[in-house]
Amino acid sequence: MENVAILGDIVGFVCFLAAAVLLASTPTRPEREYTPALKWFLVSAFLVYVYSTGADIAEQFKLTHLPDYFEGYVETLFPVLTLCAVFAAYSAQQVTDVLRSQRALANAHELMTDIMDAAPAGIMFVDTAGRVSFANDAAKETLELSEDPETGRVTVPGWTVSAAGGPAADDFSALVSDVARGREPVSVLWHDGRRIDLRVSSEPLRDATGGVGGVVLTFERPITSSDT
Amino acid sequence: MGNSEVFRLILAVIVLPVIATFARRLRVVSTATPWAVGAVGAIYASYVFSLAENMAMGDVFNMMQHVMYGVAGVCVLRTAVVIRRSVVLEQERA
Repeated sequence: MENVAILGDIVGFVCFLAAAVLLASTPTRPEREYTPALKWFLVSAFLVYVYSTGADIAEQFKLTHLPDYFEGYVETLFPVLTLCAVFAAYSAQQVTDVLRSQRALANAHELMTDIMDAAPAGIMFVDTAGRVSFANDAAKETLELSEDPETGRVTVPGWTVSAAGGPAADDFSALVSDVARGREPVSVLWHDGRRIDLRVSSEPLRDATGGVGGVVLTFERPITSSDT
Repeated sequence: MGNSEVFRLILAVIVLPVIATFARRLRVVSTATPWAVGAVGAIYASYVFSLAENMAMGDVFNMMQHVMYGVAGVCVLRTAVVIRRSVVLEQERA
């Protein structure tokens, strides 16, 4: 019976040591599920039993009794290290899922932006105050809009907009006030006298509560462009 | 019966539901799961046997405690092999 116990200790010692070496030599990558934290919690948990079985072997072969004295205390670490390893694996999985979602979202956003920029018509999103929040390439080119690369905010040059003979404004608020779907001529007048006439379609975007969050404006290339 | 053995078993029982809760949410390699569960099960059994050996049939329970170390070692080694293989495979694909 004693020989079976020693055999169990020896098998345990060799296997736990081999497992610890195997996992310690396995490369980790922070953005993957096998993270450095998981690796070292697992290796530490395995080393607890390298120590424990090693202490038993040393005692059986009457090498030393000292390690056996601490064996019970050291073994107490195993459940805690196992918990840490499982929690580290769970956390890494959550982080991996979030990163994967972010990548998918960024790819979808890039695709949508590319599609918008490929469209020959000008497409803009104007908030309820009449400010341009988004403009595709055709809209930027036609209206000479520029985008701050750091903030992403669209800035407009010095022009005024007048819709259907109404008063001129330095934004598109005249189109936002009429939230019904419409298609009307709009004149854009630069300070240097240049003017373009556009036929603008507007489509309100509503939020979850039914309120208008802004208006999508689309227009074809200028039907007239003149110096007045 | 040593105090550390009782404390060890109590601590192990306390953390077990927490381990199980997180472990069930893991998408681990399916072939590693039975081996990892086997390893933890064998270690927990060794805790029980180390207490039992002080109460009755000391030789038998002592032998079973040490056999459980061997069983746990085999399960742990198999778990480590599966984890390593899956990590290496994933990195080769990437």
